[in-house]
Amino acid sequence: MGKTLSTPDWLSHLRQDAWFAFEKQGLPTTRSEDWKYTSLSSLKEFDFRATDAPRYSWPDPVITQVKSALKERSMDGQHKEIRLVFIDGEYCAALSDTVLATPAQSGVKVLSLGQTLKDLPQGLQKPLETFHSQSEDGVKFLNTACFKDGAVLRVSPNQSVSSPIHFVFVRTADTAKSAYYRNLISVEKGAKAQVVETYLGLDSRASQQVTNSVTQVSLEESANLELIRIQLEAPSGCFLGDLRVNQEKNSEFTGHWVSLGASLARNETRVEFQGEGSTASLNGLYFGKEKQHTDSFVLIHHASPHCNSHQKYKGVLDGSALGVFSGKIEVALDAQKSNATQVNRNLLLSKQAQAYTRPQLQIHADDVKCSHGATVGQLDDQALFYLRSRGISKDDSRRLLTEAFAGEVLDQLKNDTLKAQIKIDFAARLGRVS
Amino acid sequence: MLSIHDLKAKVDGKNILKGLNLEIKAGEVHAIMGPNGAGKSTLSNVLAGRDVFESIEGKVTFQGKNLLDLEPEARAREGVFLAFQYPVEIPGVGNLYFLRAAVNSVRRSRGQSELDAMDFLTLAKQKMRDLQMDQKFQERSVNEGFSGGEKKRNEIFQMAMLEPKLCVLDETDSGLDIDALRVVADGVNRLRSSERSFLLITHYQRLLDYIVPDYVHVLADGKIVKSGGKELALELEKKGYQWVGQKETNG
Repeated sequence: MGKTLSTPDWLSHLRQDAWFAFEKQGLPTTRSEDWKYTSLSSLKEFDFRATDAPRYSWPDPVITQVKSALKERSMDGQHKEIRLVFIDGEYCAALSDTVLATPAQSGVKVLSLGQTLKDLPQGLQKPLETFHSQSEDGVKFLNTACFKDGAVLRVSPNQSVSSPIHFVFVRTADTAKSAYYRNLISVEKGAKAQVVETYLGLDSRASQQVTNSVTQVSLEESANLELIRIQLEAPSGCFLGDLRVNQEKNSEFTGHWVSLGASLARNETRVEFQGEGSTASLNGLYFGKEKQHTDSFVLIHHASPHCNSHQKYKGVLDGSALGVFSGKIEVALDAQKSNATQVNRNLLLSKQAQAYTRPQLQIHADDVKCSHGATVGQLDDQALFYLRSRGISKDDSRRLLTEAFAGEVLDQLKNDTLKAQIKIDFAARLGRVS
Repeated sequence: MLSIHDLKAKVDGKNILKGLNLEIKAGEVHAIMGPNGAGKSTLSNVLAGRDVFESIEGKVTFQGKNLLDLEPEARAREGVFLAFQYPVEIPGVGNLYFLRAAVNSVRRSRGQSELDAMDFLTLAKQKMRDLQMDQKFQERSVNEGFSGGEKKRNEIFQMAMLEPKLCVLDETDSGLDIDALRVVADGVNRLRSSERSFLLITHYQRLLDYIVPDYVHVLADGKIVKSGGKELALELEKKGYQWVGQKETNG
């Protein structure tokens, strides 16, 4: 349980408390409304405490393997971007680049959580305790009890970081079954940054692995953050992600969620508007084939007036995959002039694929604009015939149309390099479309 | 080049084509005219391979091959091109990206080398200029947000790029003003050659002022009821389709 980190007392208590809560409640079941379509019963026998002792060093072949995977994704340091790399739950200093002393990045402090706990743990107490007090279920308790490492980013007031900051979480064929991460991002008053979280599974034959990752974001007044999260776990992997965003007034958050890997993937996103005039735009693309199960859960809490939230999630489901989207919008009594939109579109590529879409609106204020729309459909026959009538094969035509469907979400990404990379990832996972 | 023998097609329990015969030789331009509901668009859909028919009977031979056995993409690769009456909008698929995929797919099947991005773009720009198409067509998605006239021009542009052997134009004149019609007709006329044949499907004689056919056929109630030279179109324009129908019943 992370005892091996240099642990302040408050953290030991917090972890203990969280572990007790987990032992008492266990994992959420489908009886819980928020987990209705996603069962964790396949993890019943899973030993969540079985994490190896920290070592912070890896055999050469592992380093080489991770290195070449990073290179493939242009994250090998060629672009002079800040990069934190984690392997199987732990920070890997050898592959990371935390100081790139260009003037534009002088206001950026980025460290591993392990290092932060050692050097300046005081600042961590509040966010970690807040998360625990707001934890809804066993998955979150487990994270607090067991997190070993993660990334800590602070952007000083009025700093604008133009190049993206990368957090890369790699799974190898390591014996460690669980990897727990806790990331803390705070963008201070008037500052601006872009962060990319990549979850990468390298061994397709690996036995069951669970990645449980929590990212807490705090945006001060007029702060701006774009956070891109890409889930590419190995086919046998299980990904449990949790993102919490607190927005003070006039702040802007843009979140992109791309879920392509893992046999079971659940990602939760919660946005809390704590001040007026803020905007959150959430884009999501989830893909599943064979027996993949993917679940995107969103909760936007309009606690303050004059805030805007926009959700656009698209699902592509092939084989006998199942995709779930739950989008909750809560508008508090005094959150007048709230503007909330939600769109969820699902494309089924096979007869066995399924999609569940659940818009939930709880509106207590009376002067608000809320809209939502959900569809589940197939490729358009006419478009398909049009492409084929020009000589493009049926498979290629289906692929073109599917990529176009997904592209509508991916095109929201402003970073062209990243957009191109994710399109390649999507095309690769999509494979042959028949 | 194309030989249609006793073609019958049924949709939703209704017989639309009821034994159609047509013979088109290389280099010829044929026009098929007829009233609404005669089966004009059905004929173009059958030729292109649209899979909406309950049953199709008869024989369609294209350059010695049984066309009805081929998938739509195989027909395109053999050299059949349909300019659609209502081209679909395909958001997210780039107009030129799509067309390059199509051109190269056709070229591969003919044993020709693929065009690289630069060569393709040079060729595409040339053809777009010929058709007075705005360069904005390059960046946009297939037909998305195109006006009716722009969509029709885009069809002819694709036709020019794919260099088919048989071009079927389904109501290409509908929705075009006179200037656009002239541009489109010029584009078609530029493609006329002794190797390439055309089948113009139209309701009005107007198109045939600009693309002058060798033969005109009248399609009524699923059959060709009258055939003649280009003067037949003018006669139809004057007397209406009623005239052919009358003649048919009386005679």
